[in-house]
Amino acid sequence: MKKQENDKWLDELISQTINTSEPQFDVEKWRREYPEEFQVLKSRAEQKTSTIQAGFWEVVLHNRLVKLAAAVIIVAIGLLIVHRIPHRHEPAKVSKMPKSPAEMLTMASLNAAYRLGGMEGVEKQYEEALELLGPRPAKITVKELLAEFNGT
Amino acid sequence: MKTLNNNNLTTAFCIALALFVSTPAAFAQAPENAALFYYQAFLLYEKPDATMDKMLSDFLDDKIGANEVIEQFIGKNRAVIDYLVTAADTPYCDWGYDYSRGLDLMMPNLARLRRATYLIQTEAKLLSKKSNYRMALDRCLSIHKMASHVADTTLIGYLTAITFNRRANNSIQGILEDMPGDLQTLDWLKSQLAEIGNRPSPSKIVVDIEREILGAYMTREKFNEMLSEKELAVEASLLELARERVLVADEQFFVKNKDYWEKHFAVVKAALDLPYVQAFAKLNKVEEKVKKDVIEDIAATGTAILAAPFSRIYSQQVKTKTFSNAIRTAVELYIIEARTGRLPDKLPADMPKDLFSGQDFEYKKTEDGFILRCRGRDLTKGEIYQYEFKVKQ
Repeated sequence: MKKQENDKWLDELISQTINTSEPQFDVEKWRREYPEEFQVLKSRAEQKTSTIQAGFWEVVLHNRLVKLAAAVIIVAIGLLIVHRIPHRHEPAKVSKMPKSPAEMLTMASLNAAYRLGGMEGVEKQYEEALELLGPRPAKITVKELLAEFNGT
Repeated sequence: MKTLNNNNLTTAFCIALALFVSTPAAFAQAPENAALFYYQAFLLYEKPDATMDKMLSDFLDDKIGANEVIEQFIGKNRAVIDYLVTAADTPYCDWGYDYSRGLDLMMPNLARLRRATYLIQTEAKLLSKKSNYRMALDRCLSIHKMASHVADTTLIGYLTAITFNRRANNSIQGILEDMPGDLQTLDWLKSQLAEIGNRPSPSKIVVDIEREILGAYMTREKFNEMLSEKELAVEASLLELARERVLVADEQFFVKNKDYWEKHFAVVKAALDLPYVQAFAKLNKVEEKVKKDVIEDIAATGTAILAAPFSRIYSQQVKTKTFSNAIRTAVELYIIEARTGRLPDKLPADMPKDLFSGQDFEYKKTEDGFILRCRGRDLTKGEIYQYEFKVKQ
Protein backbone atom coordinates (compact mmCIF):
# COMPACT_ATOMS: atom_id res chain seq x y z
CA MET A 1 0.00 0.00 0.00
CA LYS A 2 1.24 3.34 -1.01
CA LYS A 3 1.67 6.15 1.44
CA GLN A 4 -0.68 8.58 -0.44
CA GLU A 5 -3.57 6.09 -0.54
CA ASN A 6 -2.96 5.38 3.09
CA ASP A 7 -3.52 9.11 3.97
CA LYS A 8 -6.71 9.58 1.90
CA TRP A 9 -9.14 8.26 4.47
CA LEU A 10 -7.75 10.78 6.97
CA ASP A 11 -8.33 13.79 4.63
CA GLU A 12 -11.94 12.76 4.03
CA LEU A 13 -12.55 12.43 7.71
CA ILE A 14 -11.16 15.93 8.42
CA SER A 15 -13.23 17.50 5.58
CA GLN A 16 -16.39 16.07 7.00
CA THR A 17 -15.59 17.33 10.50
CA ILE A 18 -14.32 20.84 9.62
CA ASN A 19 -15.72 23.08 6.83
CA THR A 20 -12.57 24.20 5.00
CA SER A 21 -14.29 26.19 2.18
CA GLU A 22 -14.04 30.09 2.19
CA PRO A 23 -17.09 31.85 3.75
CA GLN A 24 -19.42 33.29 1.07
CA PHE A 25 -21.30 36.66 1.58
CA ASP A 26 -24.67 36.58 -0.18
CA VAL A 27 -25.49 40.27 -0.98
CA GLU A 28 -28.96 39.61 -2.41
CA LYS A 29 -29.97 37.61 0.56
CA TRP A 30 -28.65 40.35 2.90
CA ARG A 31 -30.50 43.11 0.91
CA ARG A 32 -33.78 41.17 1.12
CA GLU A 33 -33.43 40.62 4.85
CA TYR A 34 -32.15 44.19 5.69
CA PRO A 35 -33.55 46.65 3.03
CA GLU A 36 -33.25 49.84 5.14
CA GLU A 37 -29.68 49.22 6.18
CA PHE A 38 -28.78 48.46 2.60
CA GLN A 39 -30.11 51.86 1.37
CA VAL A 40 -28.26 53.78 4.10
CA LEU A 41 -25.00 52.04 3.30
CA LYS A 42 -25.46 52.63 -0.42
CA SER A 43 -26.18 56.39 -0.04
CA ARG A 44 -23.13 56.81 2.24
CA ALA A 45 -20.81 55.12 -0.25
CA GLU A 46 -21.97 57.37 -3.15
CA GLN A 47 -21.63 60.53 -1.04
CA LYS A 48 -18.05 59.67 0.02
CA THR A 49 -16.77 59.04 -3.58
CA SER A 50 -18.15 62.29 -4.98
CA THR A 51 -16.76 64.31 -2.05
CA ILE A 52 -13.26 62.94 -2.59
CA GLN A 53 -13.38 63.65 -6.37
CA ALA A 54 -14.73 67.18 -5.99
CA GLY A 55 -12.20 68.02 -3.26
CA PHE A 56 -9.18 66.97 -5.37
CA TRP A 57 -10.10 69.03 -8.47
CA GLU A 58 -11.18 71.94 -6.31
CA VAL A 59 -7.67 72.06 -4.77
CA VAL A 60 -5.91 71.70 -8.14
CA LEU A 61 -8.01 74.32 -9.91
CA HIS A 62 -8.29 76.89 -7.17
CA ASN A 63 -4.87 76.72 -5.46
CA ARG A 64 -2.23 78.85 -7.32
CA LEU A 65 0.70 77.16 -5.67
CA VAL A 66 -0.48 73.72 -6.69
CA LYS A 67 -1.20 75.00 -10.22
CA LEU A 68 2.34 76.39 -10.45
CA ALA A 69 3.83 73.18 -9.16
CA ALA A 70 1.79 71.20 -11.66
CA ALA A 71 2.97 73.47 -14.49
CA VAL A 72 6.60 73.07 -13.44
CA ILE A 73 6.22 69.29 -13.38
CA ILE A 74 4.64 69.29 -16.85
CA VAL A 75 7.41 71.53 -18.29
CA ALA A 76 10.11 69.41 -16.63
CA ILE A 77 8.66 66.22 -18.08
CA GLY A 78 8.47 67.90 -21.49
CA LEU A 79 12.12 69.01 -21.34
CA LEU A 80 13.18 65.61 -20.18
CA ILE A 81 11.45 63.98 -23.12
CA VAL A 82 12.91 66.51 -25.60
CA HIS A 83 16.46 65.96 -24.34
CA ARG A 84 16.15 62.21 -24.22
CA ILE A 85 15.19 62.01 -27.91
CA PRO A 86 18.42 61.80 -29.98
CA HIS A 87 18.79 64.60 -32.54
CA ARG A 88 20.47 63.30 -35.67
CA HIS A 89 20.92 66.70 -37.22
CA GLU A 90 22.33 68.36 -34.14
CA PRO A 91 25.82 69.61 -35.06
CA ALA A 92 28.63 67.78 -33.33
CA LYS A 93 31.21 69.78 -31.44
CA VAL A 94 33.77 71.04 -33.94
CA SER A 95 36.46 71.83 -31.45
CA LYS A 96 37.15 72.10 -27.78
CA MET A 97 38.00 75.52 -26.42
CA PRO A 98 41.65 75.64 -25.48
CA LYS A 99 41.91 76.09 -21.74
CA SER A 100 45.56 76.64 -21.03
CA PRO A 101 48.57 78.05 -22.90
CA ALA A 102 49.95 74.51 -23.01
CA GLU A 103 46.83 73.28 -24.79
CA MET A 104 46.89 76.29 -27.11
CA LEU A 105 50.44 75.50 -28.20
CA THR A 106 49.97 71.88 -29.18
CA MET A 107 50.24 70.71 -32.75
CA ALA A 108 46.52 69.85 -32.79
CA SER A 109 45.46 73.27 -31.55
CA LEU A 110 47.78 75.22 -33.85
CA ASN A 111 46.78 73.11 -36.85
CA ALA A 112 43.14 73.82 -36.01
CA ALA A 113 43.87 77.55 -35.68
CA TYR A 114 45.47 77.50 -39.14
CA ARG A 115 42.52 75.70 -40.70
CA LEU A 116 40.09 78.19 -39.19
CA GLY A 117 41.97 81.46 -39.63
CA GLY A 118 45.14 80.91 -41.64
CA MET A 119 48.42 82.27 -40.29
CA GLU A 120 46.56 85.21 -38.74
CA GLY A 121 44.65 82.73 -36.64
CA VAL A 122 47.86 80.99 -35.59
CA GLU A 123 49.56 84.28 -34.71
CA LYS A 124 46.53 85.36 -32.67
CA GLN A 125 46.72 82.10 -30.79
CA TYR A 126 50.44 82.65 -30.10
CA GLU A 127 49.62 86.05 -28.63
CA GLU A 128 46.78 84.72 -26.49
CA ALA A 129 49.01 81.95 -25.14
CA LEU A 130 51.76 84.42 -24.30
CA GLU A 131 49.27 86.68 -22.53
CA LEU A 132 48.34 83.77 -20.30
CA LEU A 133 51.93 82.67 -19.80
CA GLY A 134 52.81 86.09 -18.40
CA PRO A 135 56.00 88.12 -18.37
CA ARG A 136 59.53 87.04 -17.75
CA PRO A 137 62.20 89.05 -15.94
CA ALA A 138 64.31 91.22 -18.18
CA LYS A 139 67.62 90.01 -16.86
CA ILE A 140 68.82 87.88 -13.99
CA THR A 141 72.40 88.53 -13.09
CA VAL A 142 74.63 86.12 -11.20
CA LYS A 143 74.76 88.76 -8.44
CA GLU A 144 70.97 88.74 -8.14
CA LEU A 145 70.87 84.96 -8.09
CA LEU A 146 73.51 84.88 -5.34
CA ALA A 147 71.59 87.50 -3.37
CA GLU A 148 68.46 85.36 -3.62
CA PHE A 149 70.46 82.28 -2.64
CA ASN A 150 71.91 84.03 0.39
CA GLY A 151 68.50 85.37 1.36
CA THR A 152 69.55 89.03 1.18
CA MET B 1 92.95 47.08 3.38
CA LYS B 2 95.98 48.82 2.06
CA THR B 3 95.10 47.79 -1.49
CA LEU B 4 91.57 49.15 -1.06
CA ASN B 5 92.94 52.46 0.09
CA ASN B 6 95.16 52.59 -2.96
CA ASN B 7 92.14 51.96 -5.24
CA ASN B 8 90.21 54.77 -3.60
CA LEU B 9 93.13 57.08 -4.09
CA THR B 10 93.39 56.13 -7.75
CA THR B 11 89.65 56.70 -8.27
CA ALA B 12 89.78 60.09 -6.59
CA PHE B 13 92.78 61.04 -8.71
CA CYS B 14 91.00 60.01 -11.91
CA ILE B 15 87.89 62.02 -11.02
CA ALA B 16 90.00 65.06 -10.18
CA LEU B 17 91.90 64.68 -13.45
CA ALA B 18 88.66 64.33 -15.43
CA LEU B 19 87.25 67.45 -13.80
CA PHE B 20 90.49 69.32 -14.37
CA VAL B 21 90.50 68.42 -18.05
CA SER B 22 86.76 68.83 -18.76
CA THR B 23 85.95 71.96 -16.76
CA PRO B 24 88.04 74.42 -18.79
CA ALA B 25 86.67 72.80 -21.96
CA ALA B 26 83.08 73.41 -20.78
CA PHE B 27 83.86 77.07 -20.13
CA ALA B 28 85.67 77.53 -23.42
CA GLN B 29 82.99 76.07 -25.70
CA ALA B 30 79.64 77.66 -26.46
CA PRO B 31 76.68 75.29 -26.93
CA GLU B 32 76.46 73.89 -30.43
CA ASN B 33 72.68 73.76 -30.33
CA ALA B 34 71.04 77.10 -31.16
CA ALA B 35 67.90 76.09 -29.24
CA LEU B 36 69.78 76.36 -25.95
CA PHE B 37 70.53 80.03 -26.65
CA TYR B 38 66.96 80.64 -27.75
CA TYR B 39 65.49 79.10 -24.59
CA GLN B 40 67.75 81.29 -22.44
CA ALA B 41 66.69 84.36 -24.39
CA PHE B 42 63.02 83.42 -23.92
CA LEU B 43 63.52 83.14 -20.17
CA LEU B 44 65.13 86.56 -20.02
CA TYR B 45 62.77 88.47 -22.29
CA GLU B 46 60.53 90.91 -20.50
CA LYS B 47 57.15 91.11 -22.14
CA PRO B 48 56.29 94.76 -22.81
CA ASP B 49 53.14 96.11 -21.15
CA ALA B 50 50.16 97.14 -23.30
CA THR B 51 51.32 100.75 -23.74
CA MET B 52 54.83 99.71 -24.68
CA ASP B 53 53.47 97.03 -26.97
CA LYS B 54 51.37 99.61 -28.80
CA MET B 55 54.31 101.98 -29.10
CA LEU B 56 56.54 99.27 -30.57
CA SER B 57 53.83 98.23 -32.98
CA ASP B 58 53.26 101.85 -34.11
CA PHE B 59 57.01 102.34 -34.55
CA LEU B 60 57.27 99.25 -36.76
CA ASP B 61 54.23 100.41 -38.77
CA ASP B 62 55.83 103.87 -39.32
CA LYS B 63 53.04 105.56 -37.36
CA ILE B 64 55.52 107.11 -34.93
CA GLY B 65 59.24 107.80 -35.04
CA ALA B 66 61.98 106.52 -32.76
CA ASN B 67 61.94 107.84 -29.20
CA GLU B 68 63.76 107.41 -25.90
CA VAL B 69 61.25 104.97 -24.47
CA ILE B 70 61.76 102.58 -27.37
CA GLU B 71 65.53 103.00 -27.06
CA GLN B 72 65.32 102.19 -23.35
CA PHE B 73 63.21 99.13 -24.02
CA ILE B 74 65.76 97.83 -26.50
CA GLY B 75 68.57 98.65 -24.04
CA LYS B 76 66.80 96.72 -21.30
CA ASN B 77 66.60 93.71 -23.57
CA ARG B 78 70.20 93.89 -24.78
CA ALA B 79 71.09 90.50 -23.25
CA VAL B 80 68.07 88.93 -24.94
CA ILE B 81 69.06 90.33 -28.34
CA ASP B 82 72.64 89.10 -27.89
CA TYR B 83 71.42 85.60 -27.12
CA LEU B 84 69.01 85.64 -30.06
CA VAL B 85 71.65 86.80 -32.52
CA THR B 86 74.11 84.18 -31.24
CA ALA B 87 71.40 81.54 -31.61
CA ALA B 88 70.59 82.67 -35.15
CA ASP B 89 74.27 82.39 -36.10
CA THR B 90 74.50 78.86 -34.73
CA PRO B 91 73.85 76.51 -37.65
CA TYR B 92 72.54 73.49 -35.77
CA CYS B 93 69.22 73.77 -33.95
CA ASP B 94 67.33 71.02 -32.15
CA TRP B 95 64.33 72.24 -30.16
CA GLY B 96 63.96 68.91 -28.38
CA TYR B 97 60.47 68.25 -29.75
CA ASP B 98 58.91 65.00 -28.61
CA TYR B 99 57.36 63.93 -31.89
CA SER B 100 56.03 60.73 -30.32
CA ARG B 101 53.30 62.84 -28.70
CA GLY B 102 51.64 63.21 -32.08
CA LEU B 103 48.93 65.87 -32.08
CA ASP B 104 49.81 66.65 -28.45
CA LEU B 105 53.29 67.75 -29.51
CA MET B 106 54.10 70.99 -27.68
CA MET B 107 55.57 73.89 -29.65
CA PRO B 108 55.80 76.71 -27.10
CA ASN B 109 58.97 78.00 -28.74
CA LEU B 110 57.07 79.26 -31.79
CA ALA B 111 55.08 81.87 -29.87
CA ARG B 112 58.19 83.03 -28.00
CA LEU B 113 60.32 83.11 -31.13
CA ARG B 114 57.71 85.16 -32.92
CA ARG B 115 57.83 87.74 -30.14
CA ALA B 116 61.62 87.65 -30.29
CA THR B 117 61.61 88.46 -34.01
CA TYR B 118 59.61 91.62 -33.26
CA LEU B 119 62.30 92.65 -30.80
CA ILE B 120 65.01 92.10 -33.42
CA GLN B 121 62.96 93.89 -36.06
CA THR B 122 62.54 96.88 -33.73
CA GLU B 123 66.25 97.05 -33.11
CA ALA B 124 66.94 96.81 -36.86
CA LYS B 125 64.70 99.79 -37.46
CA LEU B 126 66.32 101.81 -34.68
CA LEU B 127 69.78 101.02 -36.10
CA SER B 128 68.63 102.10 -39.53
CA LYS B 129 67.31 105.40 -38.13
CA LYS B 130 70.78 105.92 -36.67
CA SER B 131 72.29 105.23 -40.12
CA ASN B 132 73.88 101.99 -38.92
CA TYR B 133 72.55 100.22 -42.02
CA ARG B 134 74.93 97.31 -42.11
CA MET B 135 74.04 96.18 -38.61
CA ALA B 136 70.37 96.89 -39.26
CA LEU B 137 70.47 94.61 -42.30
CA ASP B 138 72.40 92.03 -40.30
CA ARG B 139 69.53 91.95 -37.78
CA CYS B 140 67.09 91.28 -40.63
CA LEU B 141 69.28 88.43 -41.79
CA SER B 142 69.15 87.10 -38.22
CA ILE B 143 65.36 86.92 -38.55
CA HIS B 144 65.78 84.90 -41.78
CA LYS B 145 68.15 82.57 -39.92
CA MET B 146 65.73 82.25 -37.02
CA ALA B 147 63.09 81.29 -39.56
CA SER B 148 65.30 78.52 -40.89
CA HIS B 149 65.59 77.12 -37.35
CA VAL B 150 61.86 76.37 -37.16
CA ALA B 151 61.09 75.82 -40.83
CA ASP B 152 62.03 72.13 -40.85
CA THR B 153 60.28 71.14 -37.62
CA THR B 154 56.58 70.82 -38.42
CA LEU B 155 54.12 72.24 -40.90
CA ILE B 156 53.10 74.94 -38.42
CA GLY B 157 56.79 75.66 -37.79
CA TYR B 158 57.24 76.02 -41.54
CA LEU B 159 54.31 78.40 -41.86
CA THR B 160 55.56 80.42 -38.90
CA ALA B 161 58.97 80.61 -40.58
CA ILE B 162 57.30 81.96 -43.72
CA THR B 163 55.83 84.84 -41.71
CA PHE B 164 59.30 85.57 -40.23
CA ASN B 165 60.78 85.64 -43.75
CA ARG B 166 58.08 88.03 -44.90
CA ARG B 167 58.74 90.42 -42.02
CA ALA B 168 62.50 90.24 -42.52
CA ASN B 169 61.94 91.11 -46.20
CA ASN B 170 59.71 94.04 -45.27
CA SER B 171 62.43 95.36 -42.96
CA ILE B 172 65.16 94.94 -45.59
CA GLN B 173 62.98 96.75 -48.12
CA GLY B 174 62.54 99.67 -45.70
CA ILE B 175 66.25 99.86 -44.87
CA LEU B 176 67.25 99.78 -48.55
CA GLU B 177 64.96 102.74 -49.16
CA ASP B 178 66.59 104.73 -46.35
CA MET B 179 70.17 103.76 -47.17
CA PRO B 180 72.26 105.90 -49.49
CA GLY B 181 74.14 103.90 -52.17
CA ASP B 182 76.78 101.97 -50.21
CA LEU B 183 78.41 99.48 -52.55
CA GLN B 184 80.26 97.55 -49.89
CA THR B 185 77.15 96.98 -47.78
CA LEU B 186 75.06 96.14 -50.86
CA ASP B 187 77.60 93.59 -52.12
CA TRP B 188 77.76 92.02 -48.68
CA LEU B 189 73.94 91.91 -48.51
CA LYS B 190 73.75 90.37 -51.98
CA SER B 191 76.04 87.49 -50.98
CA GLN B 192 74.21 86.97 -47.68
CA LEU B 193 70.80 86.86 -49.37
CA ALA B 194 72.11 84.48 -52.03
CA GLU B 195 73.40 82.17 -49.32
CA ILE B 196 70.01 82.16 -47.56
CA GLY B 197 68.03 81.94 -50.82
CA ASN B 198 70.04 79.03 -52.16
CA ARG B 199 69.39 76.82 -49.16
CA PRO B 200 67.17 73.88 -50.09
CA SER B 201 63.55 74.41 -49.15
CA PRO B 202 62.46 72.24 -46.23
CA SER B 203 58.92 72.01 -47.62
CA LYS B 204 59.31 68.32 -48.53
CA ILE B 205 60.85 67.58 -45.15
CA VAL B 206 57.86 69.05 -43.32
CA VAL B 207 55.44 67.24 -45.61
CA ASP B 208 57.18 64.01 -44.59
CA ILE B 209 57.09 64.96 -40.90
CA GLU B 210 53.37 65.71 -41.15
CA ARG B 211 52.78 62.43 -43.00
CA GLU B 212 54.68 60.51 -40.34
CA ILE B 213 53.18 62.14 -37.23
CA LEU B 214 49.56 62.15 -38.37
CA GLY B 215 49.82 58.86 -40.26
CA ALA B 216 50.27 57.22 -36.85
CA TYR B 217 46.58 58.02 -36.18
CA MET B 218 45.41 55.45 -38.74
CA THR B 219 44.92 52.75 -36.14
CA ARG B 220 41.78 51.94 -34.17
CA GLU B 221 43.12 53.20 -30.85
CA LYS B 222 44.61 56.43 -32.21
CA PHE B 223 41.66 57.09 -34.52
CA ASN B 224 39.27 56.88 -31.57
CA GLU B 225 41.57 59.07 -29.49
CA MET B 226 41.69 61.63 -32.27
CA LEU B 227 37.91 61.73 -32.71
CA SER B 228 37.13 61.96 -29.02
CA GLU B 229 39.91 64.07 -27.56
CA LYS B 230 41.63 66.19 -30.16
CA GLU B 231 40.84 69.65 -31.37
CA LEU B 232 40.00 69.23 -35.04
CA ALA B 233 38.79 72.15 -37.09
CA VAL B 234 36.71 70.12 -39.51
CA GLU B 235 33.01 70.14 -40.37
CA ALA B 236 30.75 68.60 -37.75
CA SER B 237 29.09 66.38 -40.36
CA LEU B 238 32.48 64.90 -41.30
CA LEU B 239 33.28 64.11 -37.69
CA GLU B 240 29.87 62.51 -37.26
CA LEU B 241 30.44 60.41 -40.36
CA ALA B 242 33.87 59.34 -39.13
CA ARG B 243 32.48 58.35 -35.73
CA GLU B 244 29.76 56.27 -37.33
CA ARG B 245 32.30 54.54 -39.58
CA VAL B 246 34.74 53.81 -36.78
CA LEU B 247 31.98 52.26 -34.68
CA VAL B 248 31.48 49.50 -37.24
CA ALA B 249 35.04 49.43 -38.61
CA ASP B 250 37.05 46.25 -39.01
CA GLU B 251 40.84 46.19 -39.23
CA GLN B 252 40.70 46.64 -43.00
CA PHE B 253 39.18 50.10 -42.46
CA PHE B 254 42.39 51.30 -40.83
CA VAL B 255 44.67 49.57 -43.34
CA LYS B 256 42.77 51.23 -46.19
CA ASN B 257 42.87 54.61 -44.47
CA LYS B 258 46.63 54.40 -43.99
CA ASP B 259 47.07 53.40 -47.61
CA TYR B 260 44.93 56.30 -48.83
CA TRP B 261 46.90 58.67 -46.56
CA GLU B 262 50.26 57.54 -48.00
CA LYS B 263 49.03 57.88 -51.58
CA HIS B 264 47.68 61.35 -50.86
CA PHE B 265 51.05 62.51 -49.53
CA ALA B 266 52.90 60.96 -52.46
CA VAL B 267 50.83 63.15 -54.80
CA VAL B 268 51.44 66.23 -52.60
CA LYS B 269 55.20 65.67 -52.56
CA ALA B 270 55.34 65.12 -56.31
CA ALA B 271 53.39 68.35 -56.88
CA LEU B 272 56.00 70.38 -54.97
CA ASP B 273 58.50 69.73 -57.79
CA LEU B 274 56.24 71.35 -60.39
CA PRO B 275 56.05 75.01 -61.42
CA TYR B 276 53.49 76.99 -59.43
CA VAL B 277 50.49 76.85 -61.77
CA GLN B 278 50.74 73.09 -62.33
CA ALA B 279 51.54 72.43 -58.68
CA PHE B 280 48.56 74.46 -57.51
CA ALA B 281 46.26 72.69 -59.97
CA LYS B 282 47.49 69.28 -58.85
CA LEU B 283 47.21 70.08 -55.14
CA ASN B 284 43.78 71.57 -55.63
CA LYS B 285 42.68 68.51 -57.58
CA VAL B 286 43.87 66.04 -54.97
CA GLU B 287 42.19 68.06 -52.19
CA GLU B 288 38.90 68.11 -54.09
CA LYS B 289 39.24 64.37 -54.68
CA VAL B 290 39.50 63.75 -50.93
CA LYS B 291 36.35 65.83 -50.35
CA LYS B 292 34.45 63.80 -52.95
CA ASP B 293 35.89 60.43 -51.97
CA VAL B 294 35.04 60.72 -48.30
CA ILE B 295 31.32 60.63 -49.05
CA GLU B 296 31.45 57.15 -50.58
CA ASP B 297 34.89 55.76 -49.82
CA ILE B 298 35.59 54.87 -46.19
CA ALA B 299 39.36 54.83 -46.93
CA ALA B 300 39.38 58.62 -47.35
CA THR B 301 37.99 59.29 -43.85
CA GLY B 302 41.27 59.87 -42.00
CA THR B 303 42.80 61.92 -44.80
CA ALA B 304 39.72 64.14 -45.02
CA ILE B 305 40.02 64.91 -41.30
CA LEU B 306 43.77 65.30 -40.95
CA ALA B 307 45.33 66.41 -44.23
CA ALA B 308 46.39 70.05 -44.33
CA PRO B 309 45.25 72.40 -47.12
CA PHE B 310 48.50 72.14 -49.07
CA SER B 311 47.37 74.25 -52.05
CA ARG B 312 46.93 77.23 -49.70
CA ILE B 313 50.20 76.51 -47.89
CA TYR B 314 52.06 76.16 -51.18
CA SER B 315 50.73 79.54 -52.38
CA GLN B 316 51.97 81.16 -49.16
CA GLN B 317 55.38 79.60 -49.66
CA VAL B 318 55.61 80.82 -53.27
CA LYS B 319 54.43 84.29 -52.25
CA THR B 320 57.17 84.64 -49.63
CA LYS B 321 59.89 83.18 -51.84
CA THR B 322 58.84 85.50 -54.64
CA PHE B 323 59.12 88.45 -52.24
CA SER B 324 62.64 87.24 -51.33
CA ASN B 325 63.50 87.06 -55.04
CA ALA B 326 62.15 90.57 -55.52
CA ILE B 327 64.45 91.78 -52.73
CA ARG B 328 67.44 90.05 -54.33
CA THR B 329 66.58 91.57 -57.71
CA ALA B 330 66.18 94.96 -56.06
CA VAL B 331 69.62 94.68 -54.43
CA GLU B 332 71.12 94.12 -57.90
CA LEU B 333 69.37 97.26 -59.11
CA TYR B 334 70.55 99.27 -56.08
CA ILE B 335 74.10 98.09 -56.80
CA ILE B 336 73.85 99.27 -60.41
CA GLU B 337 72.44 102.57 -59.21
CA ALA B 338 75.28 102.93 -56.67
CA ARG B 339 77.88 102.16 -59.35
CA THR B 340 76.50 104.17 -62.25
CA GLY B 341 74.40 106.79 -60.54
CA ARG B 342 71.24 105.67 -62.35
CA LEU B 343 68.90 102.74 -62.52
CA PRO B 344 69.11 100.51 -65.60
CA ASP B 345 66.43 100.72 -68.26
CA LYS B 346 65.81 97.00 -68.17
CA LEU B 347 66.48 94.17 -65.78
CA PRO B 348 69.93 92.54 -65.94
CA ALA B 349 70.02 88.90 -67.11
CA ASP B 350 69.72 85.94 -64.77
CA MET B 351 67.78 87.67 -62.05
CA PRO B 352 65.81 85.70 -59.45
CA LYS B 353 62.35 84.94 -60.80
CA ASP B 354 58.76 85.67 -60.02
CA LEU B 355 57.83 82.16 -58.91
CA PHE B 356 54.12 82.58 -59.71
CA SER B 357 54.98 82.74 -63.42
CA GLY B 358 58.53 81.35 -63.51
CA GLN B 359 59.56 84.47 -65.42
CA ASP B 360 61.51 87.65 -64.66
CA PHE B 361 59.68 90.34 -62.75
CA GLU B 362 58.11 93.07 -64.81
CA TYR B 363 60.39 96.05 -64.13
CA LYS B 364 59.21 99.62 -64.21
CA LYS B 365 61.07 102.77 -63.20
CA THR B 366 59.15 105.36 -61.21
CA GLU B 367 59.86 108.97 -60.23
CA ASP B 368 61.54 107.99 -56.98
CA GLY B 369 62.57 104.41 -57.55
CA PHE B 370 61.21 101.30 -59.28
CA ILE B 371 58.51 98.64 -59.17
CA LEU B 372 58.95 94.90 -59.59
CA ARG B 373 55.69 93.31 -60.61
CA CYS B 374 54.78 89.62 -60.75
CA ARG B 375 53.59 88.26 -64.07
CA GLY B 376 51.69 85.39 -62.51
CA ARG B 377 48.71 85.43 -60.20
CA ASP B 378 48.40 84.00 -56.69
CA LEU B 379 45.73 81.44 -57.50
CA THR B 380 44.45 81.21 -53.93
CA LYS B 381 43.57 84.89 -53.75
CA GLY B 382 43.50 85.78 -57.42
CA GLU B 383 45.95 88.64 -56.82
CA ILE B 384 49.01 89.84 -58.71
CA TYR B 385 51.67 91.20 -56.37
CA GLN B 386 54.03 94.07 -56.95
CA TYR B 387 56.89 95.44 -54.86
CA GLU B 388 57.72 99.10 -54.80
CA PHE B 389 61.23 100.31 -53.95
CA LYS B 390 62.37 103.87 -53.46
CA VAL B 391 65.91 105.01 -54.12
CA LYS B 392 67.47 107.52 -51.76
CA GLN B 393 68.58 110.55 -53.78
